[in-house]
Order: sequence, then C-alpha cells, then structure tokens
Amino acid sequence: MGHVLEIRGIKKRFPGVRALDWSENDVVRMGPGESWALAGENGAGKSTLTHILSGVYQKDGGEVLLQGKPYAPATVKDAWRAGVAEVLQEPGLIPSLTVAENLFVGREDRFTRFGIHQKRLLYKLAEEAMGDVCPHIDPRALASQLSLEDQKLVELSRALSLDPVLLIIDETSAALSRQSVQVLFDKMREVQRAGGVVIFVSHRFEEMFEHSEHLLVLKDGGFVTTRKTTETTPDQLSGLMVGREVATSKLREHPLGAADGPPLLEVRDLTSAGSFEGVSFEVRAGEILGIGGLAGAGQEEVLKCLFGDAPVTSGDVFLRGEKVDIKAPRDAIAMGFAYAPRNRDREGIILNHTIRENASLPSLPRMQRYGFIDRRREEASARQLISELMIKCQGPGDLCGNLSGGNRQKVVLARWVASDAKVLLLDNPTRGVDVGAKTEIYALLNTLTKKGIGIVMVSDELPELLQMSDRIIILRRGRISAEFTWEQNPTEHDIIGTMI
Amino acid sequence: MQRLKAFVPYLAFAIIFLIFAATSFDRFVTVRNFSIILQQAAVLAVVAFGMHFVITMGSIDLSVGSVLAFAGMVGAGVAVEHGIWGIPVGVLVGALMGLFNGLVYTYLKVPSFIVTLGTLLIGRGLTIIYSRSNPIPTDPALDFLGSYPSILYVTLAVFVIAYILYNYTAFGRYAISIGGDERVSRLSGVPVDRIKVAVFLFSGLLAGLGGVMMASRLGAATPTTGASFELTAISAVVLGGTPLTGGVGNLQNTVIGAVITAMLSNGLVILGVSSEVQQVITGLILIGAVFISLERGKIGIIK
Repeated sequence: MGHVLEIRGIKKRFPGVRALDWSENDVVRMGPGESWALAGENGAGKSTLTHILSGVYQKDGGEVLLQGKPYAPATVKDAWRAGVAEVLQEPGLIPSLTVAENLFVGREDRFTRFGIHQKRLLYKLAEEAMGDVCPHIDPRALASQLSLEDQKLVELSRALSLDPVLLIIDETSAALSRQSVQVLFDKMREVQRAGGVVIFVSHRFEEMFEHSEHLLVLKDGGFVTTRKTTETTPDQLSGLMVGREVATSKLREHPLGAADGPPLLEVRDLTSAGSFEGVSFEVRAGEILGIGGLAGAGQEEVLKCLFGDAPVTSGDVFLRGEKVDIKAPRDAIAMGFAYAPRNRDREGIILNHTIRENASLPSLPRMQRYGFIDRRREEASARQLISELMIKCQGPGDLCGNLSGGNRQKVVLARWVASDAKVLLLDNPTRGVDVGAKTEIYALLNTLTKKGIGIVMVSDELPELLQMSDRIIILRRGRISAEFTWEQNPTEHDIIGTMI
Repeated sequence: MQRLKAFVPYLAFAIIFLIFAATSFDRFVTVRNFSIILQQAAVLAVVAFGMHFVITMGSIDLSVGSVLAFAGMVGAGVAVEHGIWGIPVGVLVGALMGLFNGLVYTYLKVPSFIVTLGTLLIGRGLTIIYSRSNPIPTDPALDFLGSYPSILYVTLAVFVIAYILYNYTAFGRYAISIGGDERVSRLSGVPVDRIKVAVFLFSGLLAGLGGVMMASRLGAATPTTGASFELTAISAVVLGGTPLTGGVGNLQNTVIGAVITAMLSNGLVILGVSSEVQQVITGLILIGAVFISLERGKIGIIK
C-alpha cells in the first residue's frame, strides 16, 4: 500500500530565518492509519510544517506528496479540497460569522439551492457536523461569542466534516478541557481507522506518548529523526529534541518561605461576581503558590483581580500586612505586583517593538533622569536581562516578534525582573514554551523566590503545578475546593479528584 | 526589502527632485525656489509633527486643517488689538480643540476618526462664524512667525522639542507603545487614557501654532485657509515611512515627508500642471507611499 504523505527536503524561509531547512535526504513517509506526533522545541519548525501542509504558508523548496501526487496547496481551501484538514494553534474561525457559516465557509454549495442560501439546510448540516463533537453549541451563535474551547471544537467539527485523509492538530489540546481533549483523541482515532493520517503537535509529553505511534523529531528547522513512540522514553525524546537529557522531576527545593512575620500577600474572601467567590489564601516571601482548576474555574480571574485588571466585588487584599486598594494595573505595579498573562502575544509583549523597549516599559519611570529617558541605562539594563535570562537573540534591538515563544516569555518575565516586582502573578508561565526554555524559566523562578519574591502561579499543566508549587490550592467553579501542602506531596490523581 | 523600506522617504525625495530638476532645471533649482519650498514645508512640518504622534499612537486626527484655520483666525483677530498676544491665544485655541478631541475619543470612546471628523466641521464652522466670512489681516507683530528665514527657526525649534519628546521621554515612548499594543501597554502600567488625551492636545496645539504661522506667512487669516490640510499632513507623515498601523515611525522622516510634499506641489506648479491634475498626482503618490511603507506582516489583514 502507498504512503498517504511523503515529505522530503522541505524548506521555508522567512525574512532572516530559515524556519524549515531539511537536507535533500531527509524524508518522512506516513502510511494509512498512522498517527504522528511532531516533537521539537519552539523554533524547531513544527508550526511552519503544519502551516505549509494546511496551505497557510507555501514551501520554498523540497517535495511533498499526498497519496503519491505532488501536493502544494496555495490556500487553506486548496488543502481542504485535497483532503487535508487542520485545527491550528491560532483562531481559525471568522468572528463575525455564525458557527454554521464558519463550518461551511468555502463550501456554500452544500446549502445553496437555485442560487440562494438555504439557512434551514445550513443549520441542519451544521448540527450534523457538530454531532458528537460539540452538540451543546448553537449553530446560530456568532463565533465571537464562543469560548476559546468551543471555537476549537467547532474547528474540529469542520475538519472532520471534510472527511480528511490527513488531519492536522496543532497545539489544540492546550485550549481544551479534559472532557473535550478526550473527544479530540477519539476523533483522531476515527480518522486513523478510516485510513487517514493524523499529525499531532502538543507540548504535553503524556499526550504525545499516549496518542501517537510515530514521532517526527525536529530541531532548529532541521530534521532530526523519526522514531516509533513505543520504543522511545520521554527522557530520550527530550534528549533528541534539545540535544541533551532533561531531568523531568524535582524542580523545586524545599520551600524557603519565611514562617514568621506577616505574609507577603494575603487575600481574604475575595469575590468577583460571576467569576469566583470567597477566595482566601496567603503567600509568604520566597514561596510559590500554585492555583489549579479546570478551564474557567476562576483561577485566571483571581490573578486579574489582584492586578487590578478585573473588578473586585468584595474582599480584602493585604500586602505585608497592610490593606491595599488596587483599581488599575498601574496601582498594582506601583505596589510591586507583576503579571504575566496567559495570552502572551496579545497581552504580554508588543511584538513589533524591540526587546529593549518591551523590557523597559513597566519600569520606564525609573529609567528617567531629569524627566528624560536615560537611553544608556535602558540599553544596559536590557543587555543585562538578556544575559541573565539567557534570551536567545542578537541584541536588545531585536524585534520581539522574531523571537520564539520561549524567548518571548523570557522577555515578559524580564520586564518584571527589571521593575523589581515583589509579587509575581503568573498565568501558565510556560504555555507554548519548549522543553529547554521551560527548564530555564523554572530555574529563574527558583532564583527569584530565593530573593524573597512571592509567586502566585496559575497552571493548567498538572506536572508543572506539582513540580513547581510549594503549596497548591484548587478552584472548582469559582470556589476553593482543596489545598495541598508540600508535606502532603499530592499526586496528579489527588489533584484531579478535587477539580471535578 | 526590510532594509529598503527604511530608505523609501529618501529615495522618494531623490526621485522627485531629479524629475523636476531634469524637466525644468533653471526654474526649479534656484536658491529662491528652494527657500519657497522650505517655507511651504515649514508650516506643514509643524502640523505633521503632531500628526506623527497621533498616527504612531494608532489613531488619526482629521481636524488639523480646521483647527489650523480657526486658531489662525482667532490669533489674527486677537493680534489686531493685542499684537503679539495673538500667538499664545491662537496656540491655546488649537490646544483646547485638541483637548476636546482627546477627551471625547478617550473617555466617551468615540473612534478618533469620527471625533476629529466632527471637529473638522466644527472648526470650519467656527472659523466662518468668528470671521463673518471675511479675512483678517495679520498684525506685523506676528511677522517673524511667517517670514523667511525666521519661519524655519520656529520649525526647527518645534522639531527639536518634538524629537526629544518622542524619543527621550516617557510621554513619547508611551504613545508609541499604545500604538504598538494598547492592551499590553495598559497591563504594563502605561497611563493609557492620559497619554491619549495628551497626544491629541499636542496635535491640536501644533495645529494651532501652524495656524498662526500660516496666517502670518500669507499676511491674513482667511476662512478657507487649511482646507484639506489634514490630508496633506497625513501624507507627509506617510511619505516619511510611518505606517498608519501605529507603533513605529521616525520623526526625522516626517520632516523629509513634509519637504517631499511641499516640493511636489511646488514642482508641479512650475511645470504648469493644473491644480486638478496636481490633486490626481498627489493622490497617486500617497497611495504608492502607503503601499511601500505598510508593514503587512504585522497586521495580517488589510481593511
């Protein structure tokens, strides 16, 4: 039997970057019914490859064969026609169209009779398409009204409705709740059973090992190797990805938090109507408090409220024993709070500004002399941060948009290191960050806590929550459902039990 | 290509210069003609500096032509009785109109495009009401603002101040960062609302100053002065390579943009091109400049 997909010597350049640069002999062949996980750090070329296969980007060189025929889609629609469907990392729906219109965008003929769009037929088709993936979603709703998770489910329904021979799932599971992730994996398996190929990108190792049969390892745009998943261990894979073995346990020393004196941060009965209720906790200097919960349990909003970015309905916040009133991010920053939001590229840094400009933005008032920005000091501070945080770049003048995800996250953190923050509010600090940079970010957090900084870390990744937190609280539907101390040493199982 | 973009203003300058020099050398390339071009560019540059801040912040100010007219008219009117006091009063009028733009845009959350379009009409109406449709000759006390070469010194002084504000103060940096990403700026502690108001106030203030300069240069404030001047100012900024998408831009290139714009209209007049055809050519060049300067990779979708 022939291969479904063959990729050979593929190349793609962006201004100044070789995003994909395989040699002529590098080839991967994917057979019917196989599932392939793409493994590699950020900047390895995983997303570039999925985008080329989906018709978003066009390759500059090399060869791609789909069912034996040359395959070079110029648009996403071309890819669909060839039987390639995708759910990519970035939003794939048009916000101003309804769910149903999005499902059949480009396939209007399916519900057109005598040149007129038949709405009733469209909604019927849409309901069929969403059938067992997301029957709870109203096909008449606007895409912009859906949660991120629901949007991804609609995209998945659309991809499946194309009966794909090649299904591409790029970093989608990160946006999904546990139940939806299960649906995703079931559907992937169905595509395989029908003889299709699934290409799967995830930063979660457990998912890669559980749901792929083959691994395609990439590094810095180049091809490394292909492996059978069952014949590879996570540590081996990490080694292949970064070129060295990465330890995957014990990321935190025993908590150093000072036991006496008032806590650095104390939150009492904090409530934000519609998001969370009666949340109380304290964080000591040098401590990392982890907050876990299912998507939408209110953990993201707790951080926003502490940073003055969401309205507090009631409750008190004390900083070093003193009651504080935070109305806007500006107030919070002045008091020593820092916030690294979940959506890094849209809320964390300005992509078309330089590292220097991004790094100094929150601390600009302190970079001034006689009311003027001290450029030399700003530049020196940026250089120091780059070396301290090991940000991979050519210099402070690099645009942040040209950095990889991990390095962007380091710039976000660098801004707050520079601003001398006392309390770090981190929302998924290593989301979309590769293994190597992840380790470096954890090391940075450890260093910061040694300096007496307190960290509140929301994380959707259980291993991160377990490995990096000194204490963990779990939110369930906006209320604290459990608290785990370091001594209790909870397992993933213990934690999941309290989330649901 | 990225490198090339940085040179676009200079390249455009060179090409336009060479075309006019080649077609009518003896009338175009003279000291006297250059001084005329610079005088025309001077007022434009002052207004364009304010526009540069607004555009870099990701907004637009369509009111500057009318603000210029009204401020010039009030300035000239006050100068009739109070001489030199016409200048600060004219500038103040401009600043107040800018403040109005900024407050409505920022706190009532009306898009800057619409607010300033409204102010464009308001300013023009007020100019006609104030002047009863008659021109007001300017008092000699204002002469230094509009005569050559002192007009250039005034523009130079404004440039130096604007340059420092833009590159070396938190005010300028914050305006640029708001244009880069407003949400990130807010979460970084940038006083977004205050900066927005201040930038529009600054643009109005410079349009006001430009109004008094223009009145002085022409010897009178007339009700039609500065009609469609907002478009000229926007094209000066755009020809200077500043994308309308905000977040980036060089103030010094806006000077080049202003000179190109002035040189273009001057050269076309010398060539005897009718004003209608001039408008067509100016429009085409504006579109061309946006085509080259826009950083499409950073916006993704063009609306």
